[in-house]
Amino acid sequence: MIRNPWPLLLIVIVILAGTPFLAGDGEDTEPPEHKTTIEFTTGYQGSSIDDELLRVAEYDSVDPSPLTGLLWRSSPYDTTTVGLELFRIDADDMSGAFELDAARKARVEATMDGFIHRLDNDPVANLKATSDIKTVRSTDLDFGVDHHIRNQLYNVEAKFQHPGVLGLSFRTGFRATQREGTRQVLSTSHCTSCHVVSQGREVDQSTRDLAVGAHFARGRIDFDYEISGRKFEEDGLTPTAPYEAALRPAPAGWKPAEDGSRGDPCVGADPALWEPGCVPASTPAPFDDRLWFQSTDLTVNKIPRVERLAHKFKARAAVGDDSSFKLTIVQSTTENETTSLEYDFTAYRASYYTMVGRNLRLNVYANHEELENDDVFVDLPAIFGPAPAVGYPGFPAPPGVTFQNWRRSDGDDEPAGLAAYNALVEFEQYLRESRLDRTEDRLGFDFVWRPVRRGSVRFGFKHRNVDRDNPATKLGFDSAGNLVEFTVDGETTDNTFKVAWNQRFRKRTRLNAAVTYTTTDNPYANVNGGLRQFAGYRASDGGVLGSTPVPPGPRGTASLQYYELHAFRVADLGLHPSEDLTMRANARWSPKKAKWSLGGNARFRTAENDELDYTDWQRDSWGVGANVLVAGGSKFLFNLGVDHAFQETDAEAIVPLMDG
Amino acid sequence: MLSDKSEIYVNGSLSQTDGSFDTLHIHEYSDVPIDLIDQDATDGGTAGELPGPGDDGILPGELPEATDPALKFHDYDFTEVHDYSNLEYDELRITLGANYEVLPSVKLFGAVALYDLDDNEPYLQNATGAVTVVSGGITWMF
Repeated sequence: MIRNPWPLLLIVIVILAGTPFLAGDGEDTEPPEHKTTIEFTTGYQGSSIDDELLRVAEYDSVDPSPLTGLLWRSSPYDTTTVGLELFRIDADDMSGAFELDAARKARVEATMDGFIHRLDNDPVANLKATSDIKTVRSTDLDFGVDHHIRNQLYNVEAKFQHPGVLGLSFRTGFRATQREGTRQVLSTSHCTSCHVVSQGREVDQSTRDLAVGAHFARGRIDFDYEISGRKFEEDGLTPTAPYEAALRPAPAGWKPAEDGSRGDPCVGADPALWEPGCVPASTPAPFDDRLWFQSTDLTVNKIPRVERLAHKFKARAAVGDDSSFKLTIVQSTTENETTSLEYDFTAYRASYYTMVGRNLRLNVYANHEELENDDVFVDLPAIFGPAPAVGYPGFPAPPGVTFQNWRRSDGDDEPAGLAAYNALVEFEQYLRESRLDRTEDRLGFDFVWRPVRRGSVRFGFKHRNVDRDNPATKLGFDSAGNLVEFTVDGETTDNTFKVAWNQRFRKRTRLNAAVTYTTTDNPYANVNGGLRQFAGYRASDGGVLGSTPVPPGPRGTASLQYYELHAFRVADLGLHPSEDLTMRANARWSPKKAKWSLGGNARFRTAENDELDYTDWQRDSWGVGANVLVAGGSKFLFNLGVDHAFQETDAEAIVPLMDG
Repeated sequence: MLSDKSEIYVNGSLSQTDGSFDTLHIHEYSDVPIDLIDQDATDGGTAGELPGPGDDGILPGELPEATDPALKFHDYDFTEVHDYSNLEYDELRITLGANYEVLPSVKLFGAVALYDLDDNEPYLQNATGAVTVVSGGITWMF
């Protein structure tokens, strides 16, 4: 059910209250002519189920259930019609519709649909492995549970013609989506032990939209304005999952366990008598871990409440007999009510449409969009307190420093050997500026040329420029071994060309074909998202890529530190192509006066990204298909088809590494 | 349509969907330290071979011990990874129904629907299933 039905009820009450007045206006006051049809349906549905319903009835309600249906159509006035349809199988599967037309001065349409969606439940049984010190394992707390969501959609739209002002109309609409059920949630406890926990979570989501608008048309000019609000809420209980204590490497005087964790203390005070495998007494203590999230149960999959308010203004003016100009302005503010953060979106679009002669249709358009998010000052100590130094059960927390302590030291009161202060290593408090902040401009045109009666050729061009306000930065080492920050190019530009041909031959053959080519400069990428290779962990071992020597780790000499691994991440990853060519064609042929037709289609696409340095990729795909369609009037339709698709990708595969 | 008062209808579809990946071709760099892969038979692996996915004897939902030898496997050679993406579904969906007008204001209806799906390449979950739905009822018109 809709959690807050008042907007819907308000709309219906206003409409029903106004209907007699509208219907009784002027000539409509003639005696009503009653035309009413009522149909009532009842029945029963039984079923037999074998094995899984997950795919075979992904959206179907198949449980045994009574069937109920109602159809009511009435014309209480000769210019007014009312209709109502309801059909219900069970709570998971029902539909309804209502419509009212009062002399076209007030029109109301309302629909309701309910359906079930059965969801996967991955048993996560494949997530079990160890390597060196790293472990991944999984626990499924909801093994075998059939998750599903019950969806209910409500939509009401009403439109009124102003009785006194010709061309002025008002409209209002309410739309609600309710989703209830359970679904799978995965969470990961990180740092050495990668423990994936699967569990079901309650889903009780509602999305509600309410819109009010006005439209005015007079002569060659149209104006339209709409204000709309959306509210999204998740009232399902937020689950919790265990976050375990971080495993730490063995310090001096300890013998590491087989899984790479600290293990046990070596017996005796004399290092010379320690058993083989013990960490030498001269080894510096490793860094303290800096995990706030460990040794407790924490909330996972928390879903924020979101609210949005949007304004949309449109204007259209006819210029001459065959031309028109359109302007659209959109402004919206979306707030995450859980965090009180907002983003603003503003868009302007102008287009001009005209006929050039009798055979050429031209459309030119320009867009300008701005997206701006609130900055976030991340202050982890203010939220969670100081990062704890967590020892093993029964053992005190070991002395030591965090990497941030080490990098931020001023050298006065820290142990010798610490590096100079570097503000780049600041993960407790920092300002996060959104990478999504951007200005996007588009400029393009389409023209359709009809050189012959049954054929047309379309040419299109679009230029797009995306200018990000806060381009990505990446950390790396310079030739002197200093940690430095680089800023990447924040501008992406693409140009798209399109040619399409549509032709009919003697009414029996139809052919259309299109070629689209897009070239992109600096496509979107996950900057420094991948580690191409690692060989020789440090400068003393030969460095990485030959020219990026890394200073020796100050704590622990045998294991790779996370900041070293991050600095080695030099490979940008990207799914968007820098070159993209698509060709497609399809044809259909039917013999004269026949009731069947033969169709075929072919498509080819080649795309590549050659701007990623280490991870350039190329992907070619093609497909062909054919079908026979037999249409024997309105009572018979038969379709037999086959389709084959092929894709070949040549890309760098980067093996995921866990660096906890 | 059989007569003015009765009709029989049938609609259905039969589809076979098949998708598969070729074996991945890996261009290995000589400096990638694949020698870190544990190939020692004493810990449950097989000496001289790169271990791959298989029956590890652990039931889903069961928490393994950290030293369980079944945990000792990797698939760095990627020779079997492509099989994870294989799909093969055979699906039949057919409905046979009939309507009969008993009186001008009364109609009977009935239908049998058969949905049958074979998942021939299950991964993680076997989606094979079938359901038969029988429905019938009466409609009054006023």
